[in-house]
Amino acid sequence: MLSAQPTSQNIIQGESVAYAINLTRSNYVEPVDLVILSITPSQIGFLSETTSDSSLGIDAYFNPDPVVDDSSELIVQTSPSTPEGTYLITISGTEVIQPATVTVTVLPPTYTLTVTPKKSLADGSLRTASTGKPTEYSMAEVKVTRTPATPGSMISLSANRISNSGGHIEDKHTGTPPVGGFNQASGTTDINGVFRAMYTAPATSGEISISANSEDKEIGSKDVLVKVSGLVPLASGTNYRLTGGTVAHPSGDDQTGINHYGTPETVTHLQAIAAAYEEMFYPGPIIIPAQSRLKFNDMSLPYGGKFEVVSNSSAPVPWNASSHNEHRIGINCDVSSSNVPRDRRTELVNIFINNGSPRFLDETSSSNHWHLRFE
Amino acid sequence: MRFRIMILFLIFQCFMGAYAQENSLERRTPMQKNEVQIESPLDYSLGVLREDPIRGEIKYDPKPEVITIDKKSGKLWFRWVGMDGKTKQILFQRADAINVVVLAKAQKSGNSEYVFSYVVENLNTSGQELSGFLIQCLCNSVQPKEITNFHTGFMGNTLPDFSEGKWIRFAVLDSSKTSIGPGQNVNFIINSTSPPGLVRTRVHGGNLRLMGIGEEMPTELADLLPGYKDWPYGYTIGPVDELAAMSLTDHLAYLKSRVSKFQELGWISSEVAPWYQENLEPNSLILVFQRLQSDLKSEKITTEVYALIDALRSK
Repeated sequence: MLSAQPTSQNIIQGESVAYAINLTRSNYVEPVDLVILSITPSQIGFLSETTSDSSLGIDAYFNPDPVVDDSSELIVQTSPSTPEGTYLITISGTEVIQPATVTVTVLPPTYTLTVTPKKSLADGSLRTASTGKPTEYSMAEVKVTRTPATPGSMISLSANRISNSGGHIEDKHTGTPPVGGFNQASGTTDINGVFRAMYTAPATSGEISISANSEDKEIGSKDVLVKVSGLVPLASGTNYRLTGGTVAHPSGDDQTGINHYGTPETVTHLQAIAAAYEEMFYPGPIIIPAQSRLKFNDMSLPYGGKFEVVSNSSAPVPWNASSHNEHRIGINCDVSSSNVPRDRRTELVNIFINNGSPRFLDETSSSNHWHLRFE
Repeated sequence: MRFRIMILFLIFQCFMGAYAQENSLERRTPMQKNEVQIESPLDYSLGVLREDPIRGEIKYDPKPEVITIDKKSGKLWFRWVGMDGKTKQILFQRADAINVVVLAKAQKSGNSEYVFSYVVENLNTSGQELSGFLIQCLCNSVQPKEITNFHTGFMGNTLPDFSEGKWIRFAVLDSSKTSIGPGQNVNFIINSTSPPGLVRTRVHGGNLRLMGIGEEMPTELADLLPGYKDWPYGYTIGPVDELAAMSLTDHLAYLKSRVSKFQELGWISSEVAPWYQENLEPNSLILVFQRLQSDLKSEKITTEVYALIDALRSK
């Protein structure tokens, strides 16, 4: 009688596994030659002491063979390309009446993908690479760990932008979305089964999906936020207007414009500026007329970062369009001068100075606005 | 004989004059300055002109730099290469190229309000015009007196530098009409029911406005902008609510604990400071009031110390 222990085992693609084979017989006659009858689902049929199926990438053999002292081992060796699944192996031998079966379940190796910021922000996000100058806050280690640890597994990395994240309306942009980059986008696992690369966030904020592939299969993905943390929206107000929206970064008085995010301090200062302007020129119960309210143009996007702009507000914006040099970390706002009478302007700029923007940029002669920069 | 007497009299006068000069206050301490360095950035990032489908990002060197035009007036160029390849520059004037002394008085008016008056002196050694004066008011109610061609407003109290109390800022609206150059001074007045106490003051000089040239400066240059850090700072007297509610003993303790500060500020001479330190007590107050006027006249105390002590009469 032929028996195997255990009768069923799991195995990772590329690994081997052994079964203990025992032959029980009433009286010893001569050594027994063991054979593999079949490996299903592939019907190999009667083979020999050893067999291999190149289509399956499985080798199976006995050691020792022939069996002298009534015990042997069945070794099953798989390759990385062996299809996942459960295989039934039927074995027999000379003078064996009843064949035995074992099953082997071939599983894929497991991969773990981790993305760890080199220096972590409080919310675990990565900071945008401001003006193309990455800091450690905008870099992350990407690590792929193969289990079981096997050197030489090919790994490739890619990054993709998740639509409409970071305040950029995707279908109102043209060109290649900025996704950042890796210091090495592909390579092989080391002796510990690990592949490492360094990812650098783009200057443009958003949600980026980082994927790892091996053998043309996705083996993991992680989403990372690329942002300037802590920005809050400037809500609509009764004494100012939110303007400057484009199809790519909409705005509007009746909604929280995505071009009107700033630090909490910036938001407070802007509201104070609008209140002081109203108090100075429309004192007491007089309500400032809508057309006279200060027009707050671009601030920063919800996640900050590069703020690409074009002059035509209804045209799609190329991702690589030139941008505000500032307006990236929530401390700027362009205040329109178009509805501020000239005789109020010197008072208004002093209101800027009193409320956090002592060094504003006066662009009224070239482009009808004051560029405020808050502390 | 008459001639000899005259000679002796002149010698005596000279001696007394020298004595008085040695023991009286020469000048209040000018306002202090932070050491704000504004220098070309050593480390900066390349600018991105555009993205080429084949070559990737096309970068260029914006060469941001700070060029000193005139150290005395604090004028600098913030210069860089713009995206069009042309040199761009914005004139920046430091706010601290001024040396300023503030002289303050406080007098109780008929309607029991204190009138605080300030003479802000832009010293001859300054390199630029005085363009603004700020006074801290540690009180709920204060009324600044409006002056023609000056902006009068309150600083936002969410600003860390100005979060304590109310800060009034007077600023020249049009420097072509009003100029407070070196050697000149300007007067400001505020009214409050609160008695005088020690408060902070700030000033700024020159033109704070940066005239744009159609392109924002590189962030490395913008990051050099000092905010309020280059505004000189110091002390003066101003309305302080908590003094109104204080007992005489506590009010005296408030003053006693600050005598060394007054000395440091040049408000009280080293000759009389120990005497005031010792006699700012409830049972010595008559003595204090008796010599207050004469010490002011002989410049052993300034108008600030006079006002601070004189306010005790209301207790």
